[in-house]
Amino acid sequence: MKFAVIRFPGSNCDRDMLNAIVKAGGEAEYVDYRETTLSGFDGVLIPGGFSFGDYLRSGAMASVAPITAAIKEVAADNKPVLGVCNGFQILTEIGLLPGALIFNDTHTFISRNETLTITNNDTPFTSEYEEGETVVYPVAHGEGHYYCDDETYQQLVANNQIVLTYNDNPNGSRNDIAGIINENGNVLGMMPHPERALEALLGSDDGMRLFARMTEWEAEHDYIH
Amino acid sequence: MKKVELIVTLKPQVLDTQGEALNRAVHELDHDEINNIRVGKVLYFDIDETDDAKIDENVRQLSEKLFTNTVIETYSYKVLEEVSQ
Repeated sequence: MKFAVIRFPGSNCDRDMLNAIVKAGGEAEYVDYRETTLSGFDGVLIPGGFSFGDYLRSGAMASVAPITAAIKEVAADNKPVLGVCNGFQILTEIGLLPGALIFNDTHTFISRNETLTITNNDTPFTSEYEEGETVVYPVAHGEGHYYCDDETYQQLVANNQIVLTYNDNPNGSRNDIAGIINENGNVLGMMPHPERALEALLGSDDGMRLFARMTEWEAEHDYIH
Repeated sequence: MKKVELIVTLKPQVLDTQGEALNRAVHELDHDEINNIRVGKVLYFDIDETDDAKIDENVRQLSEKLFTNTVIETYSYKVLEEVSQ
């Protein structure tokens, strides 16, 4: 499994993301946002940071970058796409995930470890976790408040698309939502940083199983509906 | 060539933390008569078009593709004036 780690101007978790997937046994390469193809890659990782300086809205400029059409193609091919933090914001901006991320309700930047619950382990990203398992991932965001309208929320619930929730909601996210998956089950976005939770010595290694599972992705996976 | 003013605001149901902070600050300045502050953005740009229908089409297309996120924001625009070339 070879993953593309997309680098936008202002991405700053790209090295952590590459390190995580390689440590988990995958191959990975950085891909510049000006590229227009992702042929040869089996999956995409969109790292955190402040792409294009968060100009206009976080993720807005990235949504019209040259690489974006290729990311959508990878998603349409049922290959795994993971967006973390700014990567999650970008996935909502390009329409691969519903809803939007707005300012934290306190309007402060939050950087700390958060305790979270894996609410759906029936996905090819989270099947190594127990359902309802408590994990610790760091968060570091100013705009991590997940917003969606009532209709979208009902759909998320009905399709079991809510994958990760905060135990102690830090940002005002609707119904404690920290991470969601698309209906098809191959595009996952989350505000917390599993790529910063790989070493127990540094506080948590709860992120490791997510990346390990991604390296074992199969093209004709049972989970893909 | 026309100049366009595009105003982008958060939908009423979307929490506006900047507006709330400003509202508190204004009250601390003893201006209790001010309430419900909402903060938006304004974009000004020139458009090399004179036909109103064409301007409307272009502005709406770009507003929905890039200038706004219609999940959380709404927009309105005005054609301000003829720009001399």
